[in-house]
Formats: sequence, structure tokens, C-alpha cells
Amino acid sequence: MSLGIVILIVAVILVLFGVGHRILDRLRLNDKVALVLMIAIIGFSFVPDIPLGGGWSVNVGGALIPFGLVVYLWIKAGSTWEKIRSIIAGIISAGVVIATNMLLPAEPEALAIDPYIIYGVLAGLTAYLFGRSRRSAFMAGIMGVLLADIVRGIINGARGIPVTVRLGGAGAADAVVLSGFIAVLLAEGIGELLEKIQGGTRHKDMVFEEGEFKHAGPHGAGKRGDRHE
Amino acid sequence: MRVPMAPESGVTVMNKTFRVNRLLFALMLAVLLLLPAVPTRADDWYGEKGAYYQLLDDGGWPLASLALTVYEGDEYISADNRHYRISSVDKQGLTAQTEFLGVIDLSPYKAELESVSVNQNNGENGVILMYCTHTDESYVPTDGTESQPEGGGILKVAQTLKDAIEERGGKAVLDETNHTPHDAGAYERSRRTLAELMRQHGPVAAILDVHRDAVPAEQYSAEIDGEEVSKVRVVIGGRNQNSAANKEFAYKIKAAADEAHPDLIKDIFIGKGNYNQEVSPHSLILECGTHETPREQVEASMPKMADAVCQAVYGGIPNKGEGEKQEGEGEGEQKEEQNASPQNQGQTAAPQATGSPSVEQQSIRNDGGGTGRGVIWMLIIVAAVVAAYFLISMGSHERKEKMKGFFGREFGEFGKKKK
Repeated sequence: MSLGIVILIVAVILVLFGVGHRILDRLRLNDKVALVLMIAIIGFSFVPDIPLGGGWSVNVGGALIPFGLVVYLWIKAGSTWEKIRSIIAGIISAGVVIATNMLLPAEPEALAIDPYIIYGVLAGLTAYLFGRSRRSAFMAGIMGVLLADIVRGIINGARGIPVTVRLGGAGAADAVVLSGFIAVLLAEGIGELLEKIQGGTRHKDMVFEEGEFKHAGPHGAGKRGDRHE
Repeated sequence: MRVPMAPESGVTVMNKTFRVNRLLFALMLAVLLLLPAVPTRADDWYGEKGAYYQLLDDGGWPLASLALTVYEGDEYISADNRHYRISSVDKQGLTAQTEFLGVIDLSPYKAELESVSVNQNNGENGVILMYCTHTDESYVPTDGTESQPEGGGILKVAQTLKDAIEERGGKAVLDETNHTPHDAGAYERSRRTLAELMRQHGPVAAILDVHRDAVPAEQYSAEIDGEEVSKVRVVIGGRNQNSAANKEFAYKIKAAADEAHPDLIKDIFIGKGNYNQEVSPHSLILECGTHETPREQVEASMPKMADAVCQAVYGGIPNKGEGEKQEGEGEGEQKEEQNASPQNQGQTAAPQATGSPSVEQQSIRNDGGGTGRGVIWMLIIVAAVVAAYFLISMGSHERKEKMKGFFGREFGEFGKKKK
């Protein structure tokens, strides 16, 4: 393998690692956990998929770890309403991903951007409309692609088409991970843009403690805010 | 006299609204989830079935037909290595005007291929990974239809190419994973197939995504060595960091094919897509015949294509090389290797008498040139996105403050000791 190719592969991994780490850092995770998760996502991407039987398989880095993170974020959600919102956003995102695949042209050159970016942007928009939160965006981005793959596999099976579903099969470069990251970036970008337009945050009383924004009341951090987190 | 109606309580209104929202939500969800049950049409035909773009030269004469979306800036290299760039596109008339850039000299690639001994071109005897993103593609005259969702004739063509590569001593693996439907998500699904192939087989020498085209059959018909065969088009994605490296790999294959089987490679098209080619700098799409071509003709051209692929990937046809050595024809090459300096032995072929750079140097030059440009572009794009985010999200004072305390804030926890 030539030096140029080695540099290229290393550069791609470093960029993905750096961006991914910064994004996970914006969720309800601290630096060290975000770093460990990003290493795990990239590291397990090189491990073969785990077969689940019937043509179904799952990749640890591309699907299991992101799904585990979604479950963790869902459990840690501030309120029941936020939990319901993130489930709805995830299901709608799945529908959006399926519709996107069907309605967009089949050839990549006909699209100005790659489909996984479109999934991420649409999932991020869906989640932002529902919850205006980075965590919701991440959950919708991940679950949208995963659920869409599951629905597609079931429908192919029902139509008698040989079923091979590799959930998160491309590891860190899979649409599952990338759309989750892009959804967070979009939520962050929209949040920052709106904040700039309105001339500063509306939540000046909030403080960043223990990895999340909290309302600073007379007795310290009080009600947990989920917006713009 | 109008009798005022009793106002509805707030709870009743809320309940009604919630019921309506729930109904709308359920309806929307049902529509979205039932969409995949609608069969997707194969091929990216435009406007009407069978439509395709026509590339025109400076004088308005047709150069080629493409069942792909073309844009200004796309590149086209004809069978005789004439290099064109698309200067304007008429989307209504499905024509694209090109400007002639010059003739590409493939002789350095030919010289490199001739000077490399067997299996040294990529430094090791790597494996050629093969798959079909559009597994439904098939050939109407033989298969009876242009699309077979359960697995089309394209899989048989890919199998023929794989067998031919192996017959020549190369290593090839074909994954027949079905990526149906032929929709915008097909490349996302085939990326997973490719990733699994790369995890299970290595080192990777080349990646070939085998397709068939959707233009009239006569565009691909040819007679090579007295045999009716189908030509092959090479397609490269311009939207990834490996584009330049993949273009150089395509030049190598074309140089090898032009030498062994002139007319086999129809042309090279460099479009706007990605085609999962960001994964490897030796990754190409091969369009083998069209939906109107009899599959037998396409299969007949695969052994010839295997000659070119083996020459470009392994620096020769491994089995042929062994045979030649057994017959004593490889003595000259062996002597040349013995005369080479010790550090060159077993690693690279000896430098040519003409004083051209060594094979290793050429290989690094070729791969490094393309990949180096890829790295630079990727870093520029990342830097631009980060800069845009900083500009949008902060005022100048805040920006200065954040930059000042960036490392302390972002990585501060790593220095902290647990209390």
C-alpha cells in the first residue's frame, strides 16, 4: 500500500473521529465517555457483522453501540413527554427515510448530496420540529435509518426477494451513524442560527452543569431543560 | 333570537385536537410505511422510459449516450483517449455539449504495466472484491426483462468475470447480496456489503461494482478477435476524495485493455456521484453491455476484461507469467532482477534502461498524486465547514474568547484528577 493511500485512510479516520467526538460531547456525555464511544464505534467497525439468522446481521460499531446510546439517552430524558416525542420523531424519521429512498433518483450523480446526508438532515429537521433538542435529533437520526432498514427487510421478505439486512453494516461510515451525527449538527446549527437572529439566548438563566443545561434557581440547578441541549 | 351556545370546556377542545392530531399522525405514518410496498422501477431513465443523455462534440456530432444524469464539468474520455469536459447541458433535449481538452497519453501507464513483474503492481497479491449494487439489472434478449428483483442476469456476468480472473491466477471474491429495490438507498445498502467484504478479505487490490447500462445495444456492440462481444464503460465518481486516484486506476485498466484487446473499453465517464468509491482508491464501476444486449455477448467479453484487470492490478497475468517462466521465456526478466541492487530484489522491478523512475516510484507517484489531492480537498472542506459554523454561531468577541479557551474547555476533563 502506497504512502498516499495510508495518509488518506488515516486522514479520513481522524476527521470522522474528531467530528464524531465533538458531536457525542454535545449530548449528555462527558469528554471521556464520548472519546471511548467514538473509539468503540470506529474500532468495532472493523469487526465482522454478528449474524442474527435469516439473512439478518448487525454491526457492533455501526448499529449496536449507536442503538445503546439511543437507549441511554432515552432513559435519561428529562420527562415522559420528551420520551414520547423522541419515539414519535424516530418513527416519522423512518418513514421519511423510506420515502426519501423511493422518491429521490436512484443514481447518486442525480443528487447534489449523498442520501445519508439527506437522511440526517431530514431526521434532524423532524426531531427539531418535535423536540428542538440535540438528543432528540440524534435519536431520530439513528432510529430513522435503523427502522427503515428493518421495514425494508420485512417487505423484501414478504415479496419473496432474498433478504440480506446488514444493520449498520458499514460501521462508522454507515448511514445509521452518519445520519445521527448530521442530525445533531443540524440541530446545533439551527439552534445557533436562531439564537444569533434573536440576539442571544432566551435561556440566560440556564447554566451548564454535569454535561447538561439546567435552570439556575435560587437553590441551584432546578428544572431540567431539554431545549438546545 | 339567537340562543348562545354553551362554550366548550378547554379539556374538550384539547381532547378533540389530540384526537385529530392522532388520526393525522396515524394516517401519515401508514402512508410513509406502506410506500416501500410500491415496486421501484429499475434504471434512471429520464422523463420517459428509455430516455438518455447524448454527449455532443464541438461540431454537434454525437460522442456517446449516457443513462446517467450529466452536469457541466463532468469529464468524458473516449475510446481513442480524447478527453472532453461537458460545457453545457440541455435538460429538456437531454443533450450535453462538450469541449475538447486534448488527448490523454496512456503510454506511461503502458510502460509501467510492462515493467512490473507479476504481483508487484500493488506490492502484494491482493484480492479483487466484486459486488453488484443493482442486483436486479438484467438483459432483455436473454433474461426476458430488464429488471429481476430476485436477482438479475448481471450477477451471472459478474460471476463470469470473477471466474475469468481466477482462471488467470488472480484472487477474486463476488458477493451476490441482493440490494433490491433499485432506489436511492441501493448504494447505502451496497456500502454495507462492501464493508463486510473488506472485513473478511484482504488485502484489497481493487473493488469492482458490476452494472449494465441502459442505452441502445449498438453503442456497446463490438467484434474483438472475431467474436461478437459487448464493450465495457468505466464510471468514476467525482464526489469523493479518491476520485483522482480512481481515475488513474481506470487509466491503467484502459492502457492494459488497449494493448491486449483494443475496442474493449468503450470509454471512461467521470460524473458527480460518489458510488461508494470513497472507500478505496482502486474502486470502479464497470458498465457491461446494456439492457438490450444479449447476455451471452457480455459474458463473452468478460475473459478479455479479466486480462485487462489482472494486468492492471497484478502487473501481469499470474498464470501466464508462471507458464512463460516454465517455458524459459522469463529468463531475461529473471536476469534483470539478479542484476538489480540487493535492496531492490524482491521488492521492485529494476529501473528501466531508459532511466525512467523505478516501478515503486511510479506507483507512489500515481497513487500519491490522486490521494494527496483527495486529502487536501477533504481538509479544506472540513476547515470551511468549521469556519462557517464559527461565523454563524458567535459574535467576534465571543469567537475570540472561545478560541482562547478552546483546549482548556474541550479537553479540560482529561487533565482533571478525581476528587
